Amino acid sequence: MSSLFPSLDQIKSTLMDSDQVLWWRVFDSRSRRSEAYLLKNEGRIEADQNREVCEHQVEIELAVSLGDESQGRVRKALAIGVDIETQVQQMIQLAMLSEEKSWSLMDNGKSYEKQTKAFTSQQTGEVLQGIIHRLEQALEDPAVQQGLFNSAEVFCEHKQVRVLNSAGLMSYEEKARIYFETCFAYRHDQGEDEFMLTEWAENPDQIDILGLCRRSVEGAKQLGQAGLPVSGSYSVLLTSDVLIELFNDLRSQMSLKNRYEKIPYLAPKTELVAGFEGTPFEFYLDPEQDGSFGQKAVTSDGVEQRVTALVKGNQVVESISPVQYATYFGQPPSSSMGCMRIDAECRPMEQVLEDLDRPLLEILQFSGLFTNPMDLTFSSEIRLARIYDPDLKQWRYVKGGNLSGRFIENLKGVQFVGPNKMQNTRLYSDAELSYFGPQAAILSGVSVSS
Amino acid sequence: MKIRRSQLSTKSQEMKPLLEAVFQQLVDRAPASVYASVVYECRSKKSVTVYPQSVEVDDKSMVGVNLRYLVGATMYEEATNLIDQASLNECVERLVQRVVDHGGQDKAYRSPTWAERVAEGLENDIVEQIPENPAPETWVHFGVRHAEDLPTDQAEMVRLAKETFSDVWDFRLSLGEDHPARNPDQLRVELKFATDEFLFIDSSVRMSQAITRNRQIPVLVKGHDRSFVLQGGIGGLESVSLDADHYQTLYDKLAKALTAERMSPGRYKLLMSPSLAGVFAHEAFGHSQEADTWARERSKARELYLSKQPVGNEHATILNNPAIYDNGDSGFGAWGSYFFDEEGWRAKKQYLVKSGVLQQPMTNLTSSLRLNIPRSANGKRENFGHAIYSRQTNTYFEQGDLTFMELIGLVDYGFLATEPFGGMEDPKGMGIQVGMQYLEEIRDGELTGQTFKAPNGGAVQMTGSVQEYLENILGRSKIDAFSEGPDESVHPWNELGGCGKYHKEFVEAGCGGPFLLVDKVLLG
Repeated sequence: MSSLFPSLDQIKSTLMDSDQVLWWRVFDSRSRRSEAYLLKNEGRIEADQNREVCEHQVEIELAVSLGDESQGRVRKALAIGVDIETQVQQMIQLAMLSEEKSWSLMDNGKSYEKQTKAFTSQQTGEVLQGIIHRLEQALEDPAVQQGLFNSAEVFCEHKQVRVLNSAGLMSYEEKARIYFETCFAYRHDQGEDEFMLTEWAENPDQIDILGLCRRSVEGAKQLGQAGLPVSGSYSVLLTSDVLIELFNDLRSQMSLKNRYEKIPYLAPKTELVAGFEGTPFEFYLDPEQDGSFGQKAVTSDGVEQRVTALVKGNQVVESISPVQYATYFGQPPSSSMGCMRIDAECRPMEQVLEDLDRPLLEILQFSGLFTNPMDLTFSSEIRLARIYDPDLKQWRYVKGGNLSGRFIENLKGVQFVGPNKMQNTRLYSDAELSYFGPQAAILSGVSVSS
Repeated sequence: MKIRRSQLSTKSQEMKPLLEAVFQQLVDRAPASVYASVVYECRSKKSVTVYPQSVEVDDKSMVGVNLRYLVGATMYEEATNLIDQASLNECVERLVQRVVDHGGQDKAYRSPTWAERVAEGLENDIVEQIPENPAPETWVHFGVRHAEDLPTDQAEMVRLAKETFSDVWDFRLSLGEDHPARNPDQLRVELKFATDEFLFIDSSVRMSQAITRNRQIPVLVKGHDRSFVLQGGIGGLESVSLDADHYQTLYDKLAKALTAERMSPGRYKLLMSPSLAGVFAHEAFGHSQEADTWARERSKARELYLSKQPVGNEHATILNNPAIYDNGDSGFGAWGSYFFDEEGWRAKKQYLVKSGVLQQPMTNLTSSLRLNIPRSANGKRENFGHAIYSRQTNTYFEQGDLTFMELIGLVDYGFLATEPFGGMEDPKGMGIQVGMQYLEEIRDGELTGQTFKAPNGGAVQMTGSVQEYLENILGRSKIDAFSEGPDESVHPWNELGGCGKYHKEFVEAGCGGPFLLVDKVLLG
């Protein structure tokens, strides 16, 4: 990929030459992405859209002194065709308009490098075609053929991110990302239902395409025979795609940023769940977890990332302390990134069902889960679920009705179902989340109204 | 008086010769059956956020281009932000190669000429910006009307946001000692001026537009609760103006959230504010009337449209309209408005549901071709790095003829909902989910002053069947719901907001309507 931006050396030297810049960091990211948007046309898979995306972006963040222990700070992407000196000068003027209490980068002059073995930037198209081929093979599967293929989306992205900062840090990171989405319908006597499934992964082998197709068909099939759940309070089994969001909200309340901004904050030594009587669990930020989007050696402010315990023994043990907020509270900075890892004793599903003495509601898909990081509540319409009757030892499918809970209260009697699972996802803002832990958790006292 | 309109930045203006040259290359290299187009975008955002402890300033700009070949009904795109002759030449080469590999022999698509576009009937605001008989090579620019100029200097933005911060903070002193929101934990004020610039070239037209989309949002926080006032639209500085009424509303909303009790789930009469009615419209027959969802056979609406089966009662009239340049009585444009979509199609009002009967869906180019239905101006993308989908612009219920007092008078027991808290579509299952931060109790046609949250203490969710709820609409207010006389506003108010498609692809979208009363709504 050619570059229209000044070299990193030029940028570095311009920033170092400025006597107004207190500190700086530079982010250089290059990505290539191949995308296919597939649907069915006359019985075969056809691309509705086929895209190749090539991006290169260079961003600078710099801080300037405003005196009185305050500083101005701004982050901005470089424009093409404007000389670097002019752009830095404009950024300095912009930074002078902002204001915050001073803080600076960690003194870390080391170099870090992390490459991906998944695929190279030249291989995104090839990987994409490989996944489409696997999808075509899956469509030949007898179980999958019970359903009607509606659509799929496949994105394969390779990204390189280089970070430099004024404290001497140099880091280089490669990321491989795959997004796969598929949706099948099932024709019943009364009409059709559909069931869409999505998956983010680092490596094509992490995506079980046949399994997703089969689950999509099965979900669509069961929607046709599902009835309304009865209103009441339930023990609910939530899978890792939901747990990742709930634990992320919980994590947000353990950040010193919340304390600084005077929004809900769980300080160290706080009891997490009042009257906890569930299976003990430990909550970690793990920047080394294999296969996770949360792998990170160092942050751009120079903090080496290490496995950090956030919750142990039902107690918050450490705050997430990025350099800025750690400085404000006179604390050492801590790791702030990584995969959310839950360590807990898990039981296999068969054993959980064996020991049940009341019905269990397993959520197979929410219509749209809404979580609130301020009060840790969550709610959604139930798109598809099933209820296990321990007396009859049978599952019954349900859909509709509204489920609502408060995570920190519903954790009181939590039990975990194994084995462990890796769950990656990307949010609207392109921020990434990872969870590694029990594939499901059973929460108690969750309200369902129908 | 000469109307002031938003213009292209110098940077975008200077792109024209390069893009014209690249377009010519695309045309010269394209097989006869291929339709070529070039779309350039520059999305810039200047923002200031004032906190008690700090001031954040941001100035972001994202520039990119999509080179496009349509072969049959398949769109091939090369997208890049590396915009110079050499990089774009590489993109052309790759695109040509990909299309040659495809080897389609379909009939080429032809986009309409200026004469055909004007003949179809467009909003005055669009027509008056088109010169007489433009040639295909004539650049035609569309800009947003500005009553007050936007600041060009970000220092002025900081001054404005700090002024709002002081005004809102000082306003608490005017509240009674017992006002529950008198002592909030935190206040922040976000002021954002965004400009989305587009250049579009195909063989029939060359068009540009500069959409200035502005907003100012004060946010109060106390404990686990927060309140905010959204003020914004497309226009000039007038679109972000706040006054004491807004500040009173902001503190009152926080008080209502703070004092809310937990409700008993059940079915109730629900009176929706224009913002809530908008989310209902957007999730009901907004998403399911997106033609790419039809083309993927993922919407029940297609089957319902073909069967002519009613999907609601006489009050169920839903529109999508990207051409709202006067939003309610505000004097500036609605949040999701523009002059043409990101595939060069002109903005126009469209009925999605008319008195309970489904109409044709909103399209992007490929879905229109696949379904053989008319195009509409709904081809949008998150940014140049993302694909085009059929997306909503401003989606709203049509107005009725009742005043607010007449409408609330129809409620023996129920709730007023004014604060949206998200929503979710289910186009195939015809389910709906609309979130509300809290509800205000209505008893015998009057607000009691008591507020409620969900049984878990969080946001209340309305869930159930789209068709059932559209059948259960009891009445609609006028646009100017608090005046006795006839409506002076032309379009119902559309709130500012954003929209995802399933769980990704964020775009700006407005939604609104009049006050809407719905019976037997499942709330929990």
